[in-house]
Amino acid sequence: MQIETVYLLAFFAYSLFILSVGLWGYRRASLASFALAERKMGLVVSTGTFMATFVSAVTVIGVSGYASRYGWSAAAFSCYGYALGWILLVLAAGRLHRTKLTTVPEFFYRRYGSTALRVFAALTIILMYSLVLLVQLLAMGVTLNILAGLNTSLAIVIVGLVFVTYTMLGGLAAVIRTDLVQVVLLGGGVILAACIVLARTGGAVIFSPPEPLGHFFGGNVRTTGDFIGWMLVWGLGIPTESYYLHRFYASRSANVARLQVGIGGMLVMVILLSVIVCGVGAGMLNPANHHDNSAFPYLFKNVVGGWPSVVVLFAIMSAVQSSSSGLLHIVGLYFAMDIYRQLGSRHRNLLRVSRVSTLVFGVVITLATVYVATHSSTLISLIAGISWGGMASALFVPLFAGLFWRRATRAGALASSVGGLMCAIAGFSLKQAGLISIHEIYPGLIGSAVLMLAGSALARPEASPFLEELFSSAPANSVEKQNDDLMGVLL
Amino acid sequence: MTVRLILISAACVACLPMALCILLAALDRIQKAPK
Repeated sequence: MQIETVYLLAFFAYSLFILSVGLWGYRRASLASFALAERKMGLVVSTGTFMATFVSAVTVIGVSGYASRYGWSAAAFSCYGYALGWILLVLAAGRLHRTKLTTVPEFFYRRYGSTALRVFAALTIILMYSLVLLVQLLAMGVTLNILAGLNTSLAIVIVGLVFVTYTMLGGLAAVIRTDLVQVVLLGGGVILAACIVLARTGGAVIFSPPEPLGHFFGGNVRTTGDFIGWMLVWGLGIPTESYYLHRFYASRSANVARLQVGIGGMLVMVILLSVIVCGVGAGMLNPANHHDNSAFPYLFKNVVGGWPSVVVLFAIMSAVQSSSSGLLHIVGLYFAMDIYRQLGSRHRNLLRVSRVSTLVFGVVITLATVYVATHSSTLISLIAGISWGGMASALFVPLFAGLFWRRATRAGALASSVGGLMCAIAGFSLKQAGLISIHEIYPGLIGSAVLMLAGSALARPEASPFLEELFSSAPANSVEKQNDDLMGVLL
Repeated sequence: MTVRLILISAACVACLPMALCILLAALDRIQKAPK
């Protein structure tokens, strides 16, 4: 049997399995289950879903592709920024969990008393996530084309069909259960792949990489300023990502909310370093025309060959599907709760609206990806960086000021959010025109912070029970006290 | 040498979020303790 046939069979078997988990979620459907998995996520499930959501095509395809060209400077590009992002997520987790809200834009509404900010935040999230979802699908299409010879557009449509269906049917309940399976496949697959690359290069990928691949600086990280810039892109973009923040609401306790990031982060770093090993190995072993997004799949199909390439296919599919379902779930749910619900009657069936919007967005984005696949080609990680920078510029300051600075006001938050995004867009445009060389996140964040301070100076924040409870020093209720002891959670 | 330093430093920064979890849990416990 030809290897391409094996890949196709593996792909269809995997897709059917994931769909079946989604159908299981559908039979247990309720809005609480669809939106928040009934707020019962324990440590194992939450860590698994955090990891699966975090490790996406950006990590597996994008970072390995980057590493195949620029070597170990991929670590400077990613590792430290990711860790900063996790630190800030841990800081936010407990407070956000204890608000017992349903969506991230809802936090902005309750904290600042602004429906406009709620809707603006939701629109920003939906737009940025649609871009990132497009990138994920593109990665999957490229991979299936390289590995199985499947037409890129057809591959995109089939992958889209699978994750749109199970996300629409089961919501977060289905997403977190499929994530648990997918994290084992992607983690195991990537670590196995790294071991194979280590063996194939005789350890040279770590101990003596060839000259252009062994430096800390390189690629898009040529100076300390670049390093700090990319650290800010990931470090301040990650803690504004709704698909992590949303899981804090769904966690059983504040400690579970934090620990999923604490433990998950350590394990993701192992996966990330394994991906970089594979990427640098591809840089050493692949022909020069495969030092790009195709590096990782090409390495295992054409250079290593055999059964490991099937394992790698599962790893890549799992990374893409898990992140895509997390993204789409947020898009569909937030459209229903933060935009649709704000426009009209509050008595509509929100579960049905969430499902319909998930379906519509999923289909539109899949078709848009087919179009993009036939018209352009850019490094996946850089596209994600643009949307991450935009998200950070729009949401980081209002979110963290809202959580930790009592003095932050509605005017400050609105100015900060809208103004930050405008500054980032202006910065990006100026950089494209060659007028400035700094990353757009600098003007975005600086603008956002200045506007928050200026806007908040104009008036005092309005008193509210939500504000009092958020900044109270003894936040946990009696039920959560029993469940929330750290050792109890870990053991 | 560079690669080894990268691996060690990446491992160290990856542990920081976990350390923060433990610290915040301890602070929560202190705040909840009867005065």
